[in-house]
Amino acid sequence: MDLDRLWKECTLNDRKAQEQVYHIFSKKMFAICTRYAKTTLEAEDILQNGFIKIFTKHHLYDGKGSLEGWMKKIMVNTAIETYRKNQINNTESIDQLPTIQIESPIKADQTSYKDLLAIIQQLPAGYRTIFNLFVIEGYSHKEISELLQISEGNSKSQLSRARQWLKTKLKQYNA
Amino acid sequence: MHNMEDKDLDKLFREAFVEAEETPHADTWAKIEANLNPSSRIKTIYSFKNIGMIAASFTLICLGGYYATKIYNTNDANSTLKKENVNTIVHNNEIDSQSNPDNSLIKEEKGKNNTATNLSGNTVKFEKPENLNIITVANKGQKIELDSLKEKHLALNLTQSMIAKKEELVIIQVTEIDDIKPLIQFEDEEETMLANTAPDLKENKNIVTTVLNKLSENLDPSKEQTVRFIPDEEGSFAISIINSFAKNRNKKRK
Repeated sequence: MDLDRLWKECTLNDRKAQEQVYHIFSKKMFAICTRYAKTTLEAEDILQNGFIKIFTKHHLYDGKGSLEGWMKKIMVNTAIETYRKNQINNTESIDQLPTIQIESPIKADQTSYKDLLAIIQQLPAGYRTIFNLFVIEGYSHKEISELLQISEGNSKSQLSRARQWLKTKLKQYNA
Repeated sequence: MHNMEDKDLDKLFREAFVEAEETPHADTWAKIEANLNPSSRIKTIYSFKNIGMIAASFTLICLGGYYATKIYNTNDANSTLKKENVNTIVHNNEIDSQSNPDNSLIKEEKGKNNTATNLSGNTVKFEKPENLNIITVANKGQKIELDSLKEKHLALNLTQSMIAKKEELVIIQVTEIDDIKPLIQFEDEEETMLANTAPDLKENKNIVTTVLNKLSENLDPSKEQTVRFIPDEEGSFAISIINSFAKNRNKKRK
């Protein structure tokens, strides 16, 4: 199936074409959403809002770069918007996080995706967002500071604290 | 995991998440499609919430219009009495000096149409137009607001002269406005230089001015008193130079 032709039909508001594009990219996009969200319900909200933006603001994709890369950016931006909206309620401290319940011991060579996902979802929203943007998405601290409207120093310090916390948790459950 | 470096930690999470996939809920596409369809927007408009808001707004507008109309009608009825209504009352009014000897204030008794009892206790009859709801009667400056007979006690101040001179009851409130007058009126004069004449010494005397006048006389022993001190209303005093050097030309007042 020609993705370009399919995308062109999506821009013409062809509902069937849009559904096909959704089914092609929904799993990868949902994995991104779960990394930024605290719960599955929140992740689904981000996914829905993200795809609505993709199909309504299709004119923003100028054809440069891959369609998947553009969609990922839309999803990440939607996740950040959700984080900003919920920022008032995100007052949890990194020291007050509950004990993680994971199914199997975490080891370096047997670390499963689900276990790591469970660990990262326990992080406070701010640390989790910065960790995802820097480590997984590859944003620089300057880009992160512009996205989240924080200073570069703040971005670096939060990333450092998130790393320390993750190391401690990984160490605990492998001891 | 001991002494894991940052780069190792980053690598661990990156390799786990970069190509990861998660299956969303089955009805997620249906929700997305619903938001994309134009009909969903129309449904949104006609949702219960919006209907409720529209209904509440409509109710508020109607209530506002009703009360505005009510206030307007009340003010209109309370306006200056119409001549026709007053004349109707006057012509139909059977109250005269005989039935109402003291011509005092008349009160209407509730339940009795077109009757009234004055302060002396005498019952008097009079007719009023049925369509008269609110009447404003101005009686030589005294304004009495009347309501319909069924609603309020009617208070009328009738005198013999009012009954006899019907046109006095016909009072239309008129506000007279004087012509605009200039603040300062300049008299058409030729060039003048004012010089005070001798003030009236009998008026406005006090101890200070008397002493000062005496001093003036002693200082200037001329026959004519040229400097006089006059107390004014503010508690100070004015110095009047009488028969000064200034030429006092004839004033030609037009």
